[in-house]
This record gives sequence, structure tokens and C-alpha cells, in this order.
Amino acid sequence: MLIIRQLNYTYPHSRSGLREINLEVPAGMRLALVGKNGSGKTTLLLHIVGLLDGSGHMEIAGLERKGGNMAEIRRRVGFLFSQVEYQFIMPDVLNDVLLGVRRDGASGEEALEEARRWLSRFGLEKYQGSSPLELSSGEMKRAALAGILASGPRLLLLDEPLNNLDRENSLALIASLKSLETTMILSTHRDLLVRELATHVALMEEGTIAGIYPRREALKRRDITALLF
Amino acid sequence: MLTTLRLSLLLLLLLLTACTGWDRVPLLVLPLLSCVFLYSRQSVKLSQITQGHLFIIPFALTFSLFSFFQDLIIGSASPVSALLLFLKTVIIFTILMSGRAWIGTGGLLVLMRLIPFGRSRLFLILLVRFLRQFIKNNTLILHQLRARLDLNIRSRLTVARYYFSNLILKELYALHLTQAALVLRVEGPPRPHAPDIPWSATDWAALLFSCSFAFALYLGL
Repeated sequence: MLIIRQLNYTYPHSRSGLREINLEVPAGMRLALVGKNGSGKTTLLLHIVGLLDGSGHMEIAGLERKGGNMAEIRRRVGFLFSQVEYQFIMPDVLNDVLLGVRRDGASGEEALEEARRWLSRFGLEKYQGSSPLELSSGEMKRAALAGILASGPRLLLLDEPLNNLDRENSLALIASLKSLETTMILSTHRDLLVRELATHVALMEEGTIAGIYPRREALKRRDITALLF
Repeated sequence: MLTTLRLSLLLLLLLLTACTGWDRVPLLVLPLLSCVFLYSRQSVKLSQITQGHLFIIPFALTFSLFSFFQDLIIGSASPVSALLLFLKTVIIFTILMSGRAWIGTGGLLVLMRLIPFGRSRLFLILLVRFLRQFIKNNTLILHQLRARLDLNIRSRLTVARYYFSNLILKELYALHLTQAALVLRVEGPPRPHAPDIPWSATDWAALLFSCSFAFALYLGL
């Protein structure tokens, strides 16, 4: 699903972003990126979705990352922002989800039904006419996820998905994510997310991947558990 | 259709209010009654309306004073016309505020659908998004300043300085993330779905008030 070879990136003003990243994520894997603040987790996710452009080779959902393929890559990859309120574009929740549905070329009543199905799956039917910015943090997160999943991504990137969520909403979101078969890469500091959702854990240190471990092994390592709460 | 009618009625009320002369000032009660009715149907609290109108009073006052001084320089200053300008500014603002919620998100979506050009439609969608985010950020900044600064008369300038730098930085940050969302989520201009809006008593009342206002002005009452 994702192949990265020798990815390097330096931020303007020479702040190091990523160094020598090599990563392979097969279909079905749910990889948690774990590391200190500034270790490069979000920078790596932004590269996968094409919002940053470092040097190196990347293949995403069967397509090499280069200019002509970017539109198709973005169609195949869904990205959940850490500050999810900036993800919404349309004035109401229903239309925001429709934005995702219509990427598939669906139209009219069929698309509307599809969007309503996604809203109902996330328990948001009653908010379809509301502004996304008026929702609570948990609802906002679910609405954003519905909008992303409606476009049928093959690879889902989640940047700190449990940000601002209480335990109940966190568990509800994890349950929704667990019910999907989509390949996922998520950056997190949350122990709950790693235990309940991830199949593998990648430890990031100063812009590099220090190691990738199956979840059970990762949770036995002190260098990883020390980063989670 | 209904949204177009609502917009036309609002425009009519705005135009007629703007054209009302001093001799017909009592007729301004009609657009005001219309606003009271629009507000009463939206279950908005009086305190919220008062809060929303607080800033328009100094604005209208400044506006009228400028006009008065300008007339004074020309040599035709009239306190009556300055007072009329003040009244009309406040009423026009009230019509806009009460009409905004009457049109609602549903009406806004109908308007967006009516725009034939994709880029203009996308511009309106982004403008609405920007304004909503701006209002949210504004509240956040006010809360931050209230929580962290001592808001007395002496510190007003400091507060203003921090308010503007915060506002600009937050808007730039919001723009940067919105741009990323656009790149990731939008392929071509969206055509929003607009829900069916049923006729309500408010529509009939607004129609009645606007027509009465227009008719009374026409008759010169």
C-alpha cells in the first residue's frame, strides 16, 4: 500500500524534518507512529498526502508520487487533520460529507443517500443541517471522518485522532475505525489508541524511524511505552 | 424561489429605509416591527440581540458625526439629518442581522446553487467558511485576553495591540490549514445540496410589513 525509500526533508530555516526514512506498509496494516513532539510524525504524514515535498522515492496505493499522479493519490488517501475544525469546507455537515461522496462521480439522490448513510453510521443524522463548527469535539471528529471515508480512501492517515476527545468519545471513534478494513497510519501519543487499534508501532526519533514492531512487542518496550499516556 | 423572495423583501426593506426622509420618520416603525417579528420567530434572546447590537451604536454615532461635520464645513449643517442618519444606520443594521438568520444556512445553500460560475460559487463557500471561522476565532481571542490580561481602562491599548496581532496570526494559520483542506478534499467547484424550505408565518408577516411600508411611503403618509 505504501513504499517509502530514502525520504529526506528539511524545513525552511534549516530545521531538520525527516532523515533517511524507509518504510513499507502492506494493505490492512494499522501503523501507529509514536515519538516525541517534533520527531517528524506529522511531517511524514504530510509527505504521504503530498502537502510537503521532500526528496526520495514514494509509492502510494500503487502510484509513484510525482506531479501527474498527485490528484489520483489524493483520491486514494484520506487525511484527518489534528485540528479537525479546519478540515471542513461546506456550510453544513451533510454537504461536507457530500463533498467526499461526489468524488466518486455519484450524483443526485444516490449521492445524498450515500452521504446520509455515512452520517447515520457515525450517529450524526440529526446534525446534517448544522454547521460543522458548532459541533462538539467528538462530533466534529466523527463528521470529519465521515467526510473522508465517504470518498472511499484506500489509505487513511490520522494525525492525533484522539486530540480533545474524552474516554467515551475516544472509544467510540476507535470502534468506528476498527470496523474499517482500510489501511491506516496514525500519529499518536495515546496508549489507548495503540492498544485498541494499531497492529504495528513505528518509533520515530529526530526525523528517523528507529524501529517498527508488532503491537505486542512494542508494548513491552520501555522506550515506546514511556512516550504513551 | 422562497430564498429569492426573502432576499427581495430584505432588499426592499433596506432600500425603503435608506430612502425615508425626515417627514416620514414615523413610518420607520414598520421595518422595525418586521425585525421584531423576524427575531421573535428565531427564538433569539433579548440579551443576545442587545449584545449583537452594541457595537453598531458607536459606529452609527461616528458615522453621523462625520456627516454632521462635513455638512458644517459646507455650511448646511443640520442636527436633524445627522439624527436621521443615526436612526437609519441602526435600523439597516437590525434588518441585516434579523434577516441573516431568516435566510439561514438553507437559504445560503440555495444562493450558492444559483451561482452559475463554479469559481464564484467556491469563492462564496470559502467566504462563508472564513467568516464563520473568524467569528469563532474572535470569541476565542477575547476569552484568551480576558483570562490573561487585566482589562482596565489603562490597559485598553495593550489589549488592542494583542487582539490584532492574535487575530492576524490566527487567521493566517486558519488560511494555511484551509488551503490544505481544499487541496485534499475539493476537486472542482462543489455544487451544494439545498434542502427544501417551507413557507412559514414569518414569510407572510415579512411580506405584509414590507408591502405596508412601501405602500405607506408611496402614499406619503
